[in-house]
Amino acid sequence: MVFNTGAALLDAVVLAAVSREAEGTYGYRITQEVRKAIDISESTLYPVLRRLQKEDCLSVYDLAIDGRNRRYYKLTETGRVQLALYKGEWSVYSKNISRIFEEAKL
Amino acid sequence: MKKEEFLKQLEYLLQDLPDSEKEEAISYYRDYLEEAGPEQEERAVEEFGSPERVAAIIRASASGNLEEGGAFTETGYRDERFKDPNFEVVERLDLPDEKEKTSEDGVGPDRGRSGYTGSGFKEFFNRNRQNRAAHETYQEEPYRERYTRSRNMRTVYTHEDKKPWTNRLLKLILIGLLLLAASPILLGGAGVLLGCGAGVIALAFGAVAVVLGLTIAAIIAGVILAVVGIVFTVGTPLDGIFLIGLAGIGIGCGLLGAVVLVGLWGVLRTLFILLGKGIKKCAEYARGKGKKTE
Repeated sequence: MVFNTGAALLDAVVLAAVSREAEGTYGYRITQEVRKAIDISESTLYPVLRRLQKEDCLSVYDLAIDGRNRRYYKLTETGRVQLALYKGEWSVYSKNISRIFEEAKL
Repeated sequence: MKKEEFLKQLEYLLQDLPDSEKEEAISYYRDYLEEAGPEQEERAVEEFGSPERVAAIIRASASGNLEEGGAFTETGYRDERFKDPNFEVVERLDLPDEKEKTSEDGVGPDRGRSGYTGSGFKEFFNRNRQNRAAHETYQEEPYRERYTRSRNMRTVYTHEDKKPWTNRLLKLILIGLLLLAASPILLGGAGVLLGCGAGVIALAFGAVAVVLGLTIAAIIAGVILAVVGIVFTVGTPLDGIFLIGLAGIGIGCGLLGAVVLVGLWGVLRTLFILLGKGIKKCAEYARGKGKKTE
């Protein structure tokens, strides 16, 4: 992929991936979901999740599964607002970019 | 690399972080690998890259760099403030790990400048070196690699661009010192030059004055001789004609003198203009220099 994904877009994609599960989801699943959209390394998401957590966009809770803890990430109210903002921005942005490419003459 | 080995190394590399940060990070990666399951585990560890890389990512988030300018790109983490190749290792997270090279090759020249003493940063130097060596095969490379490469090159160039700046400053300082040291000689030279200039000007003026005088004298003599000659032609025509001839020579000399005078005037004028310009330049230069030496 020649186009870089900036921090904001990655945040948005991660928030979108987390938002799919009302009860929250865990790191591995989030990574797999995000990787369906953008080709990122499996090790990359930890700092993003951590930052979103610090910014109060995600909340975490631990759940015992098979005798060990699994950390779940869940969208907070702030996260929901942020995701809505990202969605709106992306809709405008992607529409503009798509239009200019459709109008391009090859 | 096995999961436990990876996590052990990661823990070792993060031992200076606060316990909470370290625990959280390690449990995340442990969770991740456990979720991946035994059959995917090894592939996932491979995909992570070296423990050093993962440690660098964790540190970047722990020290708050992410909020201030770092960005995750599809080629990994990128931070404009860390143009330093020491840090850019994190940028290539999704490239296959180069373990053999890491353990064999030498230590990077300024490793640890950014405070990271992990040996993972060696890889970046190795890769950089390879990049340069592989420059001939540039055309055949896939686009993505070329793209990252050109970014590396740009970094190299900007480093080179900085050199002339320091050199120029250094040169200015050196020239200033040199001028200061040589000032007695320079001032003496200036005195000699000034004297010579004055002499030339005086000489030119003298020449003009002499030629002017001679010219005027010749013309007056010519006119007088002509008048006297005309008077003489009445009594002794031969004497008269002789005198008129002399008058002609006199006036001719006068005219010649006038031509020379005009020429001299031109020379003198250009001399003056040049001198004026020279003085102006010197004054400007001296003013400029004065400022710098102060």
